[in-house]
Amino acid sequence: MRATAILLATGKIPSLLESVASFLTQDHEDSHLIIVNAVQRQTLVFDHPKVTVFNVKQTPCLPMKARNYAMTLVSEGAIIAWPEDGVALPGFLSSVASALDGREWCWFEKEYVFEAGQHMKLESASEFSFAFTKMAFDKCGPFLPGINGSSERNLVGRIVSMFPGEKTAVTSPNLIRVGNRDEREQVTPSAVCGHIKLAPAMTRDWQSLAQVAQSGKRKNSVCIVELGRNGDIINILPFCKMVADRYQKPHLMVAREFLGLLDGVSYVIPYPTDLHYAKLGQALRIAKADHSIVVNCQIYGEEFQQTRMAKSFNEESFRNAGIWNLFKDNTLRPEFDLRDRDREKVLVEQVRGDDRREMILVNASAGISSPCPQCTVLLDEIRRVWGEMYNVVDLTQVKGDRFYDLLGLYEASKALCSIDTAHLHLCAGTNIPVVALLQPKAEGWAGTQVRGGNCVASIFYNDVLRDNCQSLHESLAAALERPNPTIKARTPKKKVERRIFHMVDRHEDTDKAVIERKSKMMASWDPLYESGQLIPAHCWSYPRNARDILGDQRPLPYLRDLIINAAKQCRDNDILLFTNDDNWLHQDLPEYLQFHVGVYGPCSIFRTEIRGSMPGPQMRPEQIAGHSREKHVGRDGFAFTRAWLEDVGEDFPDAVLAASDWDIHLACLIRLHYGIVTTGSNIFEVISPAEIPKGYTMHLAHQSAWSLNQHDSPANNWNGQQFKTWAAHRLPLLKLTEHGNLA
Amino acid sequence: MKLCAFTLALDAIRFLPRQLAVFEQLKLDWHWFIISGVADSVLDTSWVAKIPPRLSLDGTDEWLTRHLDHPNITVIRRQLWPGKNAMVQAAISKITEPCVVMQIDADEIWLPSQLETICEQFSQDHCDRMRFYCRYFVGPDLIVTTENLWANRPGEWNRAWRWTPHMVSIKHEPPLFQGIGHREMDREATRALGLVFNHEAYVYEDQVAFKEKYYLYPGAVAGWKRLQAHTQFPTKLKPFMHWVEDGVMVDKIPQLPPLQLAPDLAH
Repeated sequence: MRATAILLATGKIPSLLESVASFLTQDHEDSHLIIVNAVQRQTLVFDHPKVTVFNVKQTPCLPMKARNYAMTLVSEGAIIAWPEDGVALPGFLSSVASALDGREWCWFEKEYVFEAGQHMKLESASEFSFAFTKMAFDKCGPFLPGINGSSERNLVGRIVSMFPGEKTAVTSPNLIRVGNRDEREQVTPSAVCGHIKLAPAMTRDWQSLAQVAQSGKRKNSVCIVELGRNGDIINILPFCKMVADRYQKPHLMVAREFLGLLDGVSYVIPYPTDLHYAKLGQALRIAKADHSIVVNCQIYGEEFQQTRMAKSFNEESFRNAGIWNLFKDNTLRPEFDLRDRDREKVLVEQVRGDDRREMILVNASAGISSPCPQCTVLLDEIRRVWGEMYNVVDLTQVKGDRFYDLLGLYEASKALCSIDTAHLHLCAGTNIPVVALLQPKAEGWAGTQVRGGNCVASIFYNDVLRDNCQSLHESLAAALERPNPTIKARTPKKKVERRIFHMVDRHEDTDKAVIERKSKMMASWDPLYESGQLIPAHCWSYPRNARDILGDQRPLPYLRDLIINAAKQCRDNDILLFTNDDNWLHQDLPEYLQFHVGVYGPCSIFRTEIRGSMPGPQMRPEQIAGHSREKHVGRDGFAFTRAWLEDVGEDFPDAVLAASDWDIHLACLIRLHYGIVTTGSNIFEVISPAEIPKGYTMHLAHQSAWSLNQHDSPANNWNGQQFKTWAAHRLPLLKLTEHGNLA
Repeated sequence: MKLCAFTLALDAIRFLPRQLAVFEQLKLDWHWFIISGVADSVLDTSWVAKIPPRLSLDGTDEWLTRHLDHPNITVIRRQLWPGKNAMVQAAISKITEPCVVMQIDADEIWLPSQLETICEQFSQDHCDRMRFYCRYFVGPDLIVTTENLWANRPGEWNRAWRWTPHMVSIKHEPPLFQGIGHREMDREATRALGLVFNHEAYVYEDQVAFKEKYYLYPGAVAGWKRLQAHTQFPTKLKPFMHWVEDGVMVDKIPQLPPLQLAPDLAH
């Protein structure tokens, strides 16, 4: 059955874009949207085979008239009013078509109302959940005058009384009204006049929000937050690609003004926000409401404090992403896999004009985040010296349809010389030799470090001006000697399926309080076992124990034996997760580990110590972490692949479990995998990606057996000595006591 | 018709490989749901003892892990289930097509031909449910020979049902499902078709030890050991297993009437 949606546009452009975007996601094939624009001063433009825009130019235009006009465009099938301030989930029109089968109307009983930008409420359905056939309209229409929806309600009343029937029950509605009645009324029409080219896009993950409302559980999805500007977004594209290749296509949250950039990449789901790019705190709150995993790559913004540890802001952004160790990896390039080669050719020809000499691209003035007003003289200076041999192009005068169209121009040019703008980030997508002009040394963190290996020289603004451009010309000369080969697109690797084996040392407890405490924690494991997200690999018997081998009072098992027991059950890429037998596990932990171990590699899990009552299991990990007031150095979990274990080999400690130090030892080993050197001061810090955020596990505070008068037990001494010996070679800065404990 | 069997398994490594060998000989479409873990003593099984949450200790779960990718096996695990009925429900809720559902406990062994006959009876629409006699083992070569008493009471053993999705399990002991038709093929009729299964309930000492602890049968292991050492058969079972009725008799296998025995009786 053909389904036609009629949308009355009243100038609320942001919500209109959201609404139209939701129409475009509908899975019902035979569907059509008629937008009737009742705002005379605006002309909406949108070219799509499934969408017709009708701009009413009559003054004044009554909505009723506009709707009746739209009805003349419909010849058959189902008709439904499409809300300007609402969105429909992908199955909405299919459910309409199916509910209308053999009937003249259908009315879903419920719909969602999304209040205050955060709460999804189930409410009785409005007229937007009512659909009818063209035949019913022909008999009961037309729309009559009325305000605030009374025109529609009046028609609904006539249809329902002429064709008696029941409402359709729904448990999970597919229609979401954005804002409650008051909030919707407060939205004022946009003041923009003239032609408005519609670029529909979703600013929220509505499916995820509906899922949370229905089941309390978020959809597993990654959202990378980098609101802008262009250069910052381009900088983190290699990370987005990594996530897409190794885990799943991530959402990339950007400020709407930079959305066009994402037309060039297939490996992210664009997630625009109408917030200004500096509103980071707000953006993060939205991202966390919609997604289970949020990675913030942005290094500045309101309600956000950035710790500066890297040399530059774009390196810091890599650090935020958890790939600081890969910043110098020149194989990680910003990849635009949806380049429009025809558009690029046209741009190159436009820029080149009749001048067939090789081009030097120069951008010496248009910097927003790092402006250099004095640099404007540099273009003339470059033209003076190099202009006879080369076509020196002023990049500030070049405008591509999309910013990434410049990639074609870079590839067709000999060299690029640019002050600190997005060009310095985009050029890493090619091999064009680059001379970068950066912020003065004193503010070095704010200057871009050009990635990709094609930066011939980075010169500071003031140095260039001070040495009469000598350094600039020398650098350009060197750049011009370099080749500019095109980068070949990489073949994406096949995604690896990983199972997660939950390794736990199990033993029979006799103390009732201990059994009760552990049972409470273990209850969180069962849903994960039942769903298959975790595969239990519990070990109850071991070939060795500390009593027999070390003379300890307790028959404590060895870590390696536990791991061997699990490793022999799994494959190379499977994940081995160790936790203690008294750890509560967050229901999002397996999915987070799939992401973390898949994208980054091994990790350890800091203890999140809880005293008193446990926080609610539905809380997000960071909220759970907020309930823990204690700074605990111990680790409660580790996760790594069997392949990593084999790589580490003998470096992996042969430690005794339930004794001291081994967890710190293993945590330090994992940190070294990422080049992170553990010191006495950073041992307490959660350092990504060696450690995952707190709150994915919990531990109820209790006195540990190994700390009770057994500091120098044989097992503790054994572990301490192993750690001390290992650290002496690998972590010389770490100060340890005689027994191998942290000083 | 397709066969969907479910088995509740805790420390069942001795039986699961043998049962899989039977399934793999079937000439019909089959699926096996294995539900692993401890059932809490609640509802219809509230009379059994409490066991702390755990999975198997005898290698069962390692064996299950090895078969996770088996296309005909679904493994469902929890350390602690809220009763046996929840275990059954977890399995049958995953059945999406009409089929024959069978409860095959970990210690129950069928022949492939028997399972095929059962499915054939349902395919020919002869019944909606089936009850069976079993050969109840109280030692590796000892079987209960009496009928309508302990081990083969009149209401036992409901094991096969005609299934359509959305039917639900009401209780496990004895099994009761909502939505099953009323046409039952009784024990005599199924026996006439050769459908008697082996119930190896007291074959191994650790099985008896578990029952002593779980079903609260004090002295079960000692009595079982005495029975294994006993030389005069047939004999009454009551002196060895005090919880059975007076008339229950036990005998050695070779002296039984010729029956079609399941494989691997010698263990």
